[in-house]
Amino acid sequence: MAKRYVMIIDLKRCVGCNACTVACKQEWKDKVPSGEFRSRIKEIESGKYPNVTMIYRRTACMHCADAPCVKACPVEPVKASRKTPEGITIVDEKLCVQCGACVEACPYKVRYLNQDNKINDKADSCNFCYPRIQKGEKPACTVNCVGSVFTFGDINDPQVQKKIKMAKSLKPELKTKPSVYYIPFGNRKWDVI
Amino acid sequence: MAVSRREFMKLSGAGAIALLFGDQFRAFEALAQEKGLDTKIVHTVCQVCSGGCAVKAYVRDGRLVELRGNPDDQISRGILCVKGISGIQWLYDPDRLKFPMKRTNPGKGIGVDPQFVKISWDEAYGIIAQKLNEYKEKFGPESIAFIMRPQDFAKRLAKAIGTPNYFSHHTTCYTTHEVVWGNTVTGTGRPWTTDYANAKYILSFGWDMPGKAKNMQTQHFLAAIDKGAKVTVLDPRYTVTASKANLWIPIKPGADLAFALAMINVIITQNLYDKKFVNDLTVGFDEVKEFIKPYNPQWASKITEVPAATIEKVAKEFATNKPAVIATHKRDAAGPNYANSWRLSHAQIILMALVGNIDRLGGPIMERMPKFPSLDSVYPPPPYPKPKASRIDGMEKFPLLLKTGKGSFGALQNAVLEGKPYPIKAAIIRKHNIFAFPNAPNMVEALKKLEFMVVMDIHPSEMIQMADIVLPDHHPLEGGAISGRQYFGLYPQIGIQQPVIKPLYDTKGFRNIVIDIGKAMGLGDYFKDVSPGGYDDAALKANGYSMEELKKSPNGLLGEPKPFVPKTEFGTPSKKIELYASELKKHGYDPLPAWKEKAAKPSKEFPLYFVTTRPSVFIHSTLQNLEANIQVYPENQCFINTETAKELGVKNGDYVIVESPINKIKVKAKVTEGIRPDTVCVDHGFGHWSKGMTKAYGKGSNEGDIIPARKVQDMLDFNDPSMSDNMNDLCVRVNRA
Amino acid sequence: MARSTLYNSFSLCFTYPDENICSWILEGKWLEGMKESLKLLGEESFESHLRPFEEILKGKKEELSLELKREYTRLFINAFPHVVAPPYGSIYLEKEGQVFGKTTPEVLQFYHQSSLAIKEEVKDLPDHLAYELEFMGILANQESQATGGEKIRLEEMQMDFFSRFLLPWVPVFCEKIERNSHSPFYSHLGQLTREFIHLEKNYLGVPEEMNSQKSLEAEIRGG
Repeated sequence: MAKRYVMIIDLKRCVGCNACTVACKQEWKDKVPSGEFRSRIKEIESGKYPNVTMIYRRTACMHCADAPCVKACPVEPVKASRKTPEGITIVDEKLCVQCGACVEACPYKVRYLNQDNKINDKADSCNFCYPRIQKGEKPACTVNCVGSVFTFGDINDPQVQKKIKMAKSLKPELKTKPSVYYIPFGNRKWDVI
Repeated sequence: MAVSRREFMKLSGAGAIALLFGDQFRAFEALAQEKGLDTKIVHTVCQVCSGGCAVKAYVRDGRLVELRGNPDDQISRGILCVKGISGIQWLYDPDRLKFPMKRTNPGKGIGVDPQFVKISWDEAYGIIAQKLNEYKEKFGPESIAFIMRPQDFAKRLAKAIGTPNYFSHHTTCYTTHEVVWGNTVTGTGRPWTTDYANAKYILSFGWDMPGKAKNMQTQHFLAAIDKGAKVTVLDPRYTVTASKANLWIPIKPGADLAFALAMINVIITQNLYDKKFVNDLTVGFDEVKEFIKPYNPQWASKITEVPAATIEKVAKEFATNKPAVIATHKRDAAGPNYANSWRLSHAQIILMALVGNIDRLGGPIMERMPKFPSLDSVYPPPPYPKPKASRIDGMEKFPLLLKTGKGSFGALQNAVLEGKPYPIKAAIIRKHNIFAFPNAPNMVEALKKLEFMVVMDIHPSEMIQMADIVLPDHHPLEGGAISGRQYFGLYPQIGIQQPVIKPLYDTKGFRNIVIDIGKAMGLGDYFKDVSPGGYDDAALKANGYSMEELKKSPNGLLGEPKPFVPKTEFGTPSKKIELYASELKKHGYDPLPAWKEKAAKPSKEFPLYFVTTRPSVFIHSTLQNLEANIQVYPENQCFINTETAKELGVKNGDYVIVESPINKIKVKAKVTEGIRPDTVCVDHGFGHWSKGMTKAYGKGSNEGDIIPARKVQDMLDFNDPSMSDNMNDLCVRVNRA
Repeated sequence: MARSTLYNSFSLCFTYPDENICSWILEGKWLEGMKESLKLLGEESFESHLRPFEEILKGKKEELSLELKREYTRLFINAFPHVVAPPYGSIYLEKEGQVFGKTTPEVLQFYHQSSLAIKEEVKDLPDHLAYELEFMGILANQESQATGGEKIRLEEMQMDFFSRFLLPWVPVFCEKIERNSHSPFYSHLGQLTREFIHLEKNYLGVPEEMNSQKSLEAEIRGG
């Protein structure tokens, strides 16, 4: 059966330390300009003092199966913004024409296009560390996490399936079929974009 | 044009080059044999913080490319925290110190360019030896101060010189815990291992290690929650730990002690304590029972502003969900934060003893460390000269702290500034930044009084900018040593520290630097045959191992898991846990934690409580020069309650002035529901004026600037055995900038 | 031989001016050596770039000596503001802006393929400009004494090393020195070096496509 990679993030265990952000930045220093991020932590505070909740949510490309960024990419015949056979969304730097349509189209707001730097002036977002996956390694963000927050693997793996059953998509009404899932922490608010 | 080589050499400056270097190459030599560039995995120990996580370092073509935790290590368990993985950026930071340097601009101060020039190690040692011997001769050995963590080699040098003045930052960090645990339970210092993973109830008084992503503690804390442990957090701020808790009590700063005392009251009066544990393993219960009578929940409720019913509920939960543990580490409410913090530490110990959870699985554990011999026992020294003077920080008046060998900071600063009881002329400083001190601008003035500063570090901090001689340390990933598993050790385990790569520059290991300075000063007799490798060998031998074994260990670790056997004897005069602390009484301190308020109370002028914290991506005022980390957290903030902010006309992201009786700083406001309306919190690590910290320079403010430095008399007045610097015992006012 | 003299002179100028090297610089004989070498190469016009140094080196020996030491430390080792122009290739060749990047082992491998190694007692990075210049000097010297196929091989090696590991970053590095140096010696050295690289580029016949300087001013190092 064809591999399809998914990621499940346990919001109960995330302490918002940004190790994943730093790991991503260190891994892709030659791709991600200063001030831009492929992966970040969004802090979602809710309630009124003293009845407060806080969720730390790792936010990056959702690798949607029905990706608006892919639909929006005007490049032909092979799109710059497209899916790999494993279901991962990537940007082909050699083809990207920097029109910004994919950035506009992303309802999760996880893409960026920064033409004012000398590092990478193409559209960019998390690609599940595709070059690492091709070497049999996991995404850099998942390697050192004190919370062991990440489950990353093939959707066909029964262990992965178990986690998905406990998890939810962010804003499923957007109907993009994301491959990144979140296990909520009780009923604490977590789903702000 | 055909010109013979010889003729050409004669004609030109090429001859001059040849005169300098003969026909030799300067940096090159013939390649002896094919040198492959290493691709390998090296086991070592991270040292970004004191945690000591064992690390697997992945080297490709001679470059460090990835760091991971060592899965067999009791501490890291295969994972590294955000600071640990930043080690790569830190290693390869172009701003790292590379060579010894000397100052050529005699002027010193905030932002003043030292105009360093590179010198050789020999020249550096020569200057250091000459200067220090001069001061020793003219002003006495006591005019030379050491400011660094207690370390056997450095202590030997200090003793050989004959100075009593050896200081460290611990009075800002954990001396409250150290002194109290030492005199109620351990006989040494505080326990570092806490078995959160097996606890059923976790109570935090201002403890927020998950907010720092402290590796081992966060892993264990989350494991406990997974297993259904209940968590209650008392903290003026809604911390990460509070966000995982079942109950957050926004306690008034410094009122934690009242809450803890009332808990003791409930547990005793309602007979909820572990009678067997108390009978068999503690002394002083009867005294506690009498002492605790007035401290009931109603009394505590008035002070803490927490309903009596809540206090009672938490006390009952603590007593009935076994094992129940109180989470502590450093700089929590019982760390040196408030004038009454040391008492809170004592109350916490009593609470854990009452529920039978000291040195038990699920509780605080006296780590089962390998026994490392002292340096003096491995290399017996000739007799040390007797110091002719007392310490300038007056620590002899605090004998229980003196015993620990740690501290002090605030008192040091004021003594140097005033030149009393006598002036300090020179200081040898290592891995302490000016920002570690309360009232940093005042510390700068104090340092200006010194005539000679030798500063050792890895990166160009503000302290380095004030140095006369700079000595560059190895980066931890370039150095070698051995490391016992302390921050989590259920059984003795030793990790190897070894160079991951060849040191990039002309740096040296700290222990070697100490030996070299000693020999240069003519104190060679104290360092005869002394070597770091020799010490490590002896330390391993004392545990039945050899360096060869350690080097050959396939996982860089030595030590077999042993079943955990709880202690039934403790390091006190009675050999039991002294709820009523006879040692404290002997030295004139309260043997039981009688209620006392914190020192600073809100006034009309300074109406808000002030607390501090540190973001997870940095270690204090270090690592702000790292590109990835500074992008994640570009500037420090003033956390302020939504209502309070509204009253002050402050919106999220506005700059505010936070002013204390001694100083004011400008910080960006972070408006949140997650903090008491009468409290603000400013986090640490910014306001860098050392322009060598490229990326961090000019951002944010140093919150320590507004924290006053305590004097010896303050601490005598507080009757605080730990000389706590009370880093959060302050009230401020806040206005829009 | 002549080119070797030039490379070695530059290499020494980018080495810390301790007592020995400082005397060598201030004595100024190296200027004569450079002039001779340029004459041999038929590049007398380049000489005009050397003239400012005659004035500069006329200053008081002690003052100049201290100035050189301070400025070298500030430009290339540690400084407040930041170290101005750390002289390591990987910082400029790679976007990360860190030392010991991917290109550093490549430089080392190049040295090894030429049967050369960095001495064990050298306590600095392999892609330090001073070492890279010395390396070119060694190759140039070997080439001047070689013949036939060996000579061609050494020519190609110089072209290869120069176009991959010097040309792409040294001009940008020099501009940084020229812009930021407080010392006339180093600002002129920056200019002189830049001109020399240009000279070498033509001499070695580096094709235009290899002259890639785009996006190599590491943003991270700033101005």
